[in-house]
Amino acid sequence: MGTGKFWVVSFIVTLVILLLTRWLIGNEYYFFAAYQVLQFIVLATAWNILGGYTGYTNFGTGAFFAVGAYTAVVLHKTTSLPVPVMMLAGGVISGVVGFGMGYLTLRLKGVFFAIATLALAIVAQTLIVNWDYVGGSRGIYVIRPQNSPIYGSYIQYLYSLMLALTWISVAIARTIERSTLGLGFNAIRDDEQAAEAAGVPTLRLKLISTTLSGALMGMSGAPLPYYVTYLDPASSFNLSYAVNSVAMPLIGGMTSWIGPVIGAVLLGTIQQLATVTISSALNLLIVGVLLIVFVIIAPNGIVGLVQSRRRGRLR
Amino acid sequence: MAAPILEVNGLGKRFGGFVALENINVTVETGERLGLIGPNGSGKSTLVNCLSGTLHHDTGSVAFDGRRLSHLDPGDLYRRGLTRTFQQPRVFRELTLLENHHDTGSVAFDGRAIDGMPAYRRTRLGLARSFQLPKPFRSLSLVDNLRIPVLYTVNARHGAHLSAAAIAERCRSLLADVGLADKALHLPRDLTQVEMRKLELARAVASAPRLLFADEAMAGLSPSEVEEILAVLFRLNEQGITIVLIEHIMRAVMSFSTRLVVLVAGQKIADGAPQEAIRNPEVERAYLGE
Repeated sequence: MGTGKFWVVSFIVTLVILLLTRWLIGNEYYFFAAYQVLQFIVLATAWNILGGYTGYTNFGTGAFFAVGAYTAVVLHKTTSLPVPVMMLAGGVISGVVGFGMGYLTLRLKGVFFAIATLALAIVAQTLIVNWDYVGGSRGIYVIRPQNSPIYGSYIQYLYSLMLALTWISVAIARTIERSTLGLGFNAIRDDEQAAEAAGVPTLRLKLISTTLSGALMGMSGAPLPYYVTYLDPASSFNLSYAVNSVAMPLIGGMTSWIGPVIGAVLLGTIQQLATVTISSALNLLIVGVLLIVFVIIAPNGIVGLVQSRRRGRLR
Repeated sequence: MAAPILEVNGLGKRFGGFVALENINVTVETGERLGLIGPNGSGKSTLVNCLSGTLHHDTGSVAFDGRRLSHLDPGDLYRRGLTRTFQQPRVFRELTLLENHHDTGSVAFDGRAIDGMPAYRRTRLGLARSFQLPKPFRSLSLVDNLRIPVLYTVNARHGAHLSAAAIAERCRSLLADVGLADKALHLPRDLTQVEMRKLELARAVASAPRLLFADEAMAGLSPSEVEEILAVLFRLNEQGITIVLIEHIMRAVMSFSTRLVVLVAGQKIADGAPQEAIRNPEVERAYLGE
């Protein structure tokens, strides 16, 4: 399927999902839970652009996500912009942070880069904790507008926005995968020196990758204040965002756009179920156990497992 | 005679206190087959790394496919544009390089002095290399391995926009040239050692270079495999690519090269016709001892 066709088809699929869910599902809780799953699809897809395609492991997902959320908080306090505009603004700010992080750290490789991104998350969190205007360590209450701008409840509105962002993220990832840019990313992942010798401007491509990845993470964080209505640094910078956005592509498969989607739907849904039926404290344990299982039985994720099965049958 | 394709003037490279290369002057004429030999650790690979942009030299200048630079004294170049590179901390290498490039550009080289130019831009200019230890893109099929240099060099040059079909055809014919056509969709891990070397060469050639550094393309191969690689290199040279061959296998070097440069301990000790160069007493001493 060509790239243009994919955008159209995925848009139609998204629209159908939106209409069907809004039409068939009455219980608000399902939208509340689905929002979480969708948010993880965006985060995992964004992470995979840098981590899976370009080969740079980012443990700072929480920071980009929270920067998006706090951008929205600032805009909420100063303006009365609609949420989609806040998402764009969050994306821009997080993209800038991604660019800066790339510039400062991309000469580091492998585990050193990963540690640097972890450090970035701590630096960003420290800044927010000490910034009173956005609530500091106490956190901040964000009052939702009384009425949703579109038909239905406010949570259904946020769900619709996140679904749209999911469509955009996945389509961007798929576009990159089939493009010259994506091939350049893969070359960097496989061998940076050889990539440079083959004419790939590695520094520029890595900056594009960190910027894009950071921007999408920020966009997914921007509606968070309205979703939770109370935002504090400890939960918005939570390590679980970083762990999940690494684990989901790993479990789904990192070489293809569908991998993070599968991983996020699977893990995200299991976590939502566990939160309701057992306890929310169990979430990270589930992620850990699944991660170990998959590293052993399917090191290339579910997509890799399917691919090798198919290749085995062809031979 | 046509202008040389590559001119290296007073090139030097240190790693901390260790002098890897000192005052190297080499000229590569267009279309020639230059052999570069020397004992292990003599600086051959370092020289290639410096010329192809993988490493950056500390002193001297390199000009590629430019006008003759004889009217400019290397020391002058060095002072006017190149001093910054080595005084900056290595981590900011690429940053300062851009500046440097700008500076050297103002010294009227027509933008052809490549000191400090990042490796990918040298490749785009037409200066390609293969790696001593093959570095294939392991997760990509052979045809995609070649598609990368085609997309990023040939397709990026003076606004050339090849169609997807033309690019695919080009990759296929490059693979066919080195006898790997039937493995186009395989991954590099399926290849034998000699096929890996061929892929390495094919990927370097895919950028349509005018000058190719073949860094030990034959190390560890059997005599018949050496012949295969040599045949590929001869064919490339006939197509008009100037080749610098870095090699330890003397039989291959002697049959391939039209000229030989010998490095010992970071210094050039011989430069001339192959037969004469290896009879040079200094060369004999370096290889055989006193």
